[in-house]
Amino acid sequence: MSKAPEQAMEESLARCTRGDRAAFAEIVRAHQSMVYSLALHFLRNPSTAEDVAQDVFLKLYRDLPSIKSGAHLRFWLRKVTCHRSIDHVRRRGPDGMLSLDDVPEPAAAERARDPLLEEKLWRLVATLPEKSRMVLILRYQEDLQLREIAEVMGIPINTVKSSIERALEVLRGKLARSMGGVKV
Amino acid sequence: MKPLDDELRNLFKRKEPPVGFAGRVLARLEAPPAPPTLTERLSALFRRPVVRWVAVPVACALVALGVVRYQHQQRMRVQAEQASREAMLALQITNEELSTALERAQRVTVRALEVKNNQSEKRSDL
Repeated sequence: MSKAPEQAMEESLARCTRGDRAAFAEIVRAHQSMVYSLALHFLRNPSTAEDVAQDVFLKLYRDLPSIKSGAHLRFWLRKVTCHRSIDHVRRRGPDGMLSLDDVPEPAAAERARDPLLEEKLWRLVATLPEKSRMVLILRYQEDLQLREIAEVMGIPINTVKSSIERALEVLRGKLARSMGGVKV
Repeated sequence: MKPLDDELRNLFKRKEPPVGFAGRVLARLEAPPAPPTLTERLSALFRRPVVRWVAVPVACALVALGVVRYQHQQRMRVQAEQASREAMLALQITNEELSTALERAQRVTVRALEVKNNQSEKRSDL
């Protein structure tokens, strides 16, 4: 984030801790796609993902006095969303997973997609263990470094590294087999 | 085909939540909290220090009361069994006494009949 939006976020945080609801709405709008996408990519159910994302922001509202900065806010949101999503699956099991084609697409122009390959990849990602799946989402959705993922997930950095390597190896192997030996 | 890294980046691209998401979050902030469930109310009750301090001696007293009651019931059961055994023994003794008395009565009756018969025979001989 550049300095101006970062400064604006700090100001929103300060106003928010004084009870300004409009400032809280700004914070929600600024981070809603990150929180919602983390939950959606993990849970693969838009309705459940929205519920989890709303719960995360409600918890944020209660915990606002403990948030120190914009960077801390992003870290806090990622951490709470990851843990809530994993807890949700552990408590209730996976909900009926919908195709992400049901979800509204971002406004930005997309490159040419291969829907079949995407669907195949979703199915393969869904077979990964919960923590590996979340590590991959943090890596590829949020573009986080290994150290940052380790902090968000509360696991050692070596575990993050081995999880990513193992997950990619499994995905490559399964994808190649399902496509008749084509290397990916 | 693009490398797997690119495919995953594309797969996990951020998506916007449905329209009105922020509004719904704010509406939930305004909404009164849902009434607590029975479990939540009980756990809230036991989180109070006063209740915890009272609950411990009450629980101890209930356990002690349970133990005393159990011991009392055990004692009563043993006493009832003992009384039952004694009653059976008394009946057995009574039964034996009655049998002996009956035997004696039968013997006396037989003897009396024999004496009577003998007297009748002597009178007829005369």
